[in-house]
Amino acid sequence: MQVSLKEIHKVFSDGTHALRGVSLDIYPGEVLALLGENGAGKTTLMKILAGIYKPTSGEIYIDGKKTKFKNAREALRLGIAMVHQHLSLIPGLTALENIAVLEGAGLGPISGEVRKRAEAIAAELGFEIDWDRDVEELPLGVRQRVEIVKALYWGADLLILDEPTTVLSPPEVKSLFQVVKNLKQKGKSIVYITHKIPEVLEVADRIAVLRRGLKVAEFKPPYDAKKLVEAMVGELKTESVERSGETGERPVLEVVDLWVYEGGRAVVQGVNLVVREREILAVVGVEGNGQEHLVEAVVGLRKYKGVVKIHGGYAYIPDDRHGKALVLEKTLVENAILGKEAEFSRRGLISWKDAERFTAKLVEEFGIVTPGPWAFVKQLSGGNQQKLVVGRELSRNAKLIVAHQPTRGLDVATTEYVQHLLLKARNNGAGVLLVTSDLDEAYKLADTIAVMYRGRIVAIGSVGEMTLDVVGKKMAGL
Amino acid sequence: MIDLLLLQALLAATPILLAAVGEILTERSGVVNIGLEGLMLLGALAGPLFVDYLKYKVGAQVPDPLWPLLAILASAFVGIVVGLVHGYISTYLAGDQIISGVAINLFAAGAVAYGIQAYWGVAGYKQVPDWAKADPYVVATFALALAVFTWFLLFKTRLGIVIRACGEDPESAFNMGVDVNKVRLLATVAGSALAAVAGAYLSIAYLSVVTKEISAGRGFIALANVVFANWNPLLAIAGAYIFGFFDALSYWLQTMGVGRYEITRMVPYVATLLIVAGVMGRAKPPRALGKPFKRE
Repeated sequence: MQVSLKEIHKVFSDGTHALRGVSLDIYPGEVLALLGENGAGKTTLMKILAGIYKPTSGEIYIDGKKTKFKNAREALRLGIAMVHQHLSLIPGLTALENIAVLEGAGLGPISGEVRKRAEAIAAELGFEIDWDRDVEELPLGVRQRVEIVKALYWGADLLILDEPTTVLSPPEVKSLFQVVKNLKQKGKSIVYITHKIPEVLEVADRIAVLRRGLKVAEFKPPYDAKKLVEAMVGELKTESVERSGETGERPVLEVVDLWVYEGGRAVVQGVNLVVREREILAVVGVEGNGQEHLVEAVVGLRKYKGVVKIHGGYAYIPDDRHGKALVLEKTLVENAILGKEAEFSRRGLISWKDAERFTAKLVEEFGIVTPGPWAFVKQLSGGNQQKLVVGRELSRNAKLIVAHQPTRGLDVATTEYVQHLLLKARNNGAGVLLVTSDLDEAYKLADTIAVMYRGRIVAIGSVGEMTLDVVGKKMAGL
Repeated sequence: MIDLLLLQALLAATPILLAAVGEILTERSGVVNIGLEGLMLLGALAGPLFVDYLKYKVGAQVPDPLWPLLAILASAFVGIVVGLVHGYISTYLAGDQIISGVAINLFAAGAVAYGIQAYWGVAGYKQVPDWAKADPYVVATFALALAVFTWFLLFKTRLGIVIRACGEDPESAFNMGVDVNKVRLLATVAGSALAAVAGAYLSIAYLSVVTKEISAGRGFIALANVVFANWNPLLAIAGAYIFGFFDALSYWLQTMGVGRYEITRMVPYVATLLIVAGVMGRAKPPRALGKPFKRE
């Protein structure tokens, strides 16, 4: 299938000009990477191609024929399917029902044919899927596979993968790349949306870079990673912050013999930790080894046995900003004062003027791109949402900062910025408990590194002592 | 004695079951209708009133066994009309479903009291004549079969998948080509019709009277039963039967002379409260329940 997008513009109802005239060609049997920062317009452009959004202006040609879609179903009929970053299977339905929903309504049962064909497609790609489980109960990686099978089942020739590795573990990432290659060999076109440069180097036949709603460059192999970054970011303008000041003596967090149970299983098993002033303690490990439970116990979201002592208050940057940090349906102002309403109250009434002033300060100080303080948080791009979370939390001036995957899913510039903020907070005397699965981040920021494996801290030491080799082995349980 | 109690429980369970099964269908599509109580009231009046009118005012000649059926159909028709209004407000107009539901209840409370007075000239109480009566066991059997059928519809057919998709994730359903508002409207109409039929059962089969308070909270009990059943029609049978049992028990206690009437009549309601409070935390409503679907 040959697709041409011509001069696509998209202005959302809130006034955001997401696309400012993008033209793009997609050829059969190629993997086209759509590279760009968060908010560059990659996802919006592809949602238009997949029939989910309507373009404000511009034209779509499929095999030379001008086309308009009413919904995603119509795009899918022509062979265009999108696998979303926040996977869009319908919860409450089983994996098989999610495929069968496209059969349309009817009193008849789901035909056995659907199951047979779905299983055949899955087998061909080497997927194992429990078709009769509610998709909500399936791990994210499996849900993604269900979406891919669904797309192929309904005859997709062009598959759009939106940040597909965000939800995957490293081995799953590897097998996804293999799947992408298989699909390409079958003559399918693939659009691979990402902001991760190593991934595009691995899979892309061609790279188109978007920045602020415009296509700024196209690349063909051999790629020059530095040029890709330049095209993506424009110019890098984060001044790097030096670590300054030795780690102090006074602890801001003491964890003694911490046990957390889930479903009768001990998921955190006797963890001891101390975070001191001017110290970033990075807890690393393969996800699912109890890090999440550790964090949630420390901030009081979970029951635990043992001792958790926090000196001087804490700020919490959770891993899931949609689920745990922000109320998407509320405004920036309302979100900015979450958990600190008392500071903005006079005789029990909230002073919205003060709250607005405070929000404007956050917007200014943390470079949050927003239509205004009274915009809804859901209107912001992921990076700007995270800046709001980090800004709010750091403004608590707590002695302890608990940061759980603080840069996950963020673009390069925002990642650097958030890391810079954490380091700055440390230099100013705070202690940081950083839980991350990104080793680069750990080494960049940490004074001390701890490795978590099966609910225990299996190694801990200063960054100098903990070589990458040691950490890697410990993470694997060796 | 006890087997009589259990049969009585079945009869008491039937209106709860009918209304709950209808509401499950409605809520699975994403629309909440708290007007069940009002629909029951309207249905309880509409059936007897319609056949009375047909027989005495119009003078229609109808074979005797058909009267109760006509009464039930008349009630269902009223349910459909009210359901269309509530459904339209809840979908295309994107109105507040709770307010619309409250309106149904308020309207029904007034309309039924007035209707009895205006038509029969009696204050709030009218006996249903023998020729209009239906066999309650037939309706009870129908209700059980309907619960099973609705379960099958929701969980085993393609239509059921589409209905549930509308209730869980209308955005995705729309993108799959589903006409979300149409599905929701139809599910609301079906649910309302069943609630009205539950009312007809009360007046022409179970209690043999029309009164202005005949529903006596059963519509709300049915709503509670939906939660108790976790939106599953099969579990709704159990929920309805539990209520029916306590209801029958309260009458039994009365006839046995145990306790004061005011106390024993509380039994089914208190039991409902306790049971629902117990399952409340674990119930998992459809994700988009009560939220109108608007595109972009």
